[in-house]
Amino acid sequence: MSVAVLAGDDARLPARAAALAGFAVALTEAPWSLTPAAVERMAEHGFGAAAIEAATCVVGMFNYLTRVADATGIPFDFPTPLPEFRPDRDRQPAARPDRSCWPAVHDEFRSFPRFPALTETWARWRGYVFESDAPLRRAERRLLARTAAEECCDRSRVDSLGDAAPAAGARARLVDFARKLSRVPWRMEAADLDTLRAAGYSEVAILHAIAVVALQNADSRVALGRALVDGRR
Amino acid sequence: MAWLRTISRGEAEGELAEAYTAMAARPMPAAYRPPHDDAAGIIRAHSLDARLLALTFSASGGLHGDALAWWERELLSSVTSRTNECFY
Repeated sequence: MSVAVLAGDDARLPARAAALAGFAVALTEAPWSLTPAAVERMAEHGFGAAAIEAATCVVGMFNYLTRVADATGIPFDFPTPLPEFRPDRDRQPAARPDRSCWPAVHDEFRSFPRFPALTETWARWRGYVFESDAPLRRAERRLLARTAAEECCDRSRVDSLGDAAPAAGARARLVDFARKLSRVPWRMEAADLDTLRAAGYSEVAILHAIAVVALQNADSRVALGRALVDGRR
Repeated sequence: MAWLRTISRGEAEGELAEAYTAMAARPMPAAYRPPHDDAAGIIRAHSLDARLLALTFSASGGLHGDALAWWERELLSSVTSRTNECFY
């Protein structure tokens, strides 16, 4: 099964595993496109609301972790018997729909009611990443988060982060960084960090920029997925 | 070598050293332990901010419950990483 997953050959997976894989692909690649049918398919294979909520969280979390890995350039350092994974850096991202088609998801879905401890830790993490005022200013975090939420077509989150005044100078570099890390994280390069350094951002500020973008990508996917679980889309 | 400066476990002091120690003490399948003495790269990637490191992995630690079987979580994480063209 591991080889099939690595090769992207989800059709070879057992039906229950294929349902999970399909959910992960859709929530990762085009979270705005998920419909209740995706949840129904999971339910047909015995996944209850708690399991689907947990699945949403795992997919969200790995949308964070993969972006941190891609943006920081860390080497792969886990043992594996599987063949080496070769990313396709030329792969095209999913087309984003017109804003009028973006789903609107209430903030209540940015939590895990079936997992109260996780809701608490996620809220503390979110608060630190999105609301701190150093080493990035809060306004810079809002700009990064807004751009990332736009890339996820998360209308409510975009609206909550206010109007996007045209960004110039260093802040324009933040917008470019957020858009690239959100849309095509597999194309991140060392030069993307050099651009932020040249704009005056410190190493720890760059880490926070990465964290804001990556977490917003996770958070938007959690919200969009959770809203489906609770039948609100 | 990473593109962002990182602080290894051997170089860490204070809050970061404590965070690394706490991470190392977490029960963890052998497959998650890197084949070297340092913290895993994805953890070291956060090392410039010990509080960020602790908060991030506190949240990720909350993923391990009974709602999904271990292989189901692994499948979800693997497919997510593959879809993002990421080795992780």
